[in-house]
Amino acid sequence: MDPERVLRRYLELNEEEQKKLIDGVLEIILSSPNADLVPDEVGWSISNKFRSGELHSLDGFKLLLEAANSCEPMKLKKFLEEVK
Amino acid sequence: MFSFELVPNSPLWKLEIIGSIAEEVGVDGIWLSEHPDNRSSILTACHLLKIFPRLWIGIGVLNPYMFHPLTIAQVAATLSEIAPRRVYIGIGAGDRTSLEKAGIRRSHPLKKVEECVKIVREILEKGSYQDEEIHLRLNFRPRSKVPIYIGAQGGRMLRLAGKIGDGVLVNHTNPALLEFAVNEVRTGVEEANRRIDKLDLVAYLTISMGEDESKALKAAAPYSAYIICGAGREFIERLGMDPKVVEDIRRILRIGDWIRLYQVLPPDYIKATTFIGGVEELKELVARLFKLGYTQIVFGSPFGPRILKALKMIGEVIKYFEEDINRE
Repeated sequence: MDPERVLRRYLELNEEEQKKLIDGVLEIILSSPNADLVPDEVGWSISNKFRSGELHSLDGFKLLLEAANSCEPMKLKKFLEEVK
Repeated sequence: MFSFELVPNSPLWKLEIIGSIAEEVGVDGIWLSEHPDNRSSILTACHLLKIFPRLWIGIGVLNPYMFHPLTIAQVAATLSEIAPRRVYIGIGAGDRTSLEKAGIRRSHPLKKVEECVKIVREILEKGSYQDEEIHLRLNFRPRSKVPIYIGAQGGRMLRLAGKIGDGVLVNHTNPALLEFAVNEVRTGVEEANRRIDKLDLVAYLTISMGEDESKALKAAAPYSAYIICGAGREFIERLGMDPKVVEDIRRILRIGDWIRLYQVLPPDYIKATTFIGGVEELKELVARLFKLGYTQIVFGSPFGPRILKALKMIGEVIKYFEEDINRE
């Protein structure tokens, strides 16, 4: 996974597509039994952004990518490939 | 009334996110399960009570083998200071498998639970308790009433719950067992000359929702295994399960061999102990439970193989019944 390419792709999407992408990565994290592998500071930041309605943003997406890459790298890779 | 069950086996930040979704879909509260190998349900409750000022939090359940009644009373009184009128305490005999892991034998569960409830209630109501062994006076006052719910599965515990509980957490998902449970609780209520409408009768369901049944079954399998292994002979016989298979499941669970569990646990057993299905099937189950007299439905973990999607599906069910109530 090339993070810069993923972020570039994110910025090319329209708002609805961005939301769908973010929800997809969030689903991977919430459904993972390995959430303990996510660094705590990343997890807390995701929760804070989710609860304040700021997760649907470039910063939120970056955090989600880091978290999903920590707990479900293969699922994240497959999901991002499907998005392409 | 609707609530969610969260299992503190996930990091607190993840419970915050799921709790936030729970609030959004319209639940009134969250029950936290207690297992010695997970995060502390008590400390998780402290945290979530501060995060969600509109939700009540219940701890379901603390058992008197691992938690002395005085500790439970102290916890309940302290939580009532953090969040007056938003704290429920569940007391039950505890999960047999978890207790075994802790080297504790679950002896005389009925007597232990009854004694525990008596002590906790008296301390919360009067601020003190005294018997031949215990002499305790709290140095602070509980800030509100803390309802005591009894966690129950078997007939005798359900009848006891009907006699002494402010509420009953009926730990079944199978409709036939939930019907059996209502009748047992009613018997207990009548024996104690109480009224059933004074009791919060709670169906504590284990839910796995999704479009792909095989994935929903897989997500529910560990939960089903814990339910089966924690259940008494009465329950195993009632569901027509093979005791040899149950013994196998128990052995596998003890060593935590999840791959083997998926091979050994029959899908029929998972379906008999958990809810597997979609929105319409869940609406049917909830309607049936309200008709039977249940007053609270707990949508419990694992929710489904895709949690976010499953929570949205549960949200649809809640919305349907809320609109139904508004129409009436």
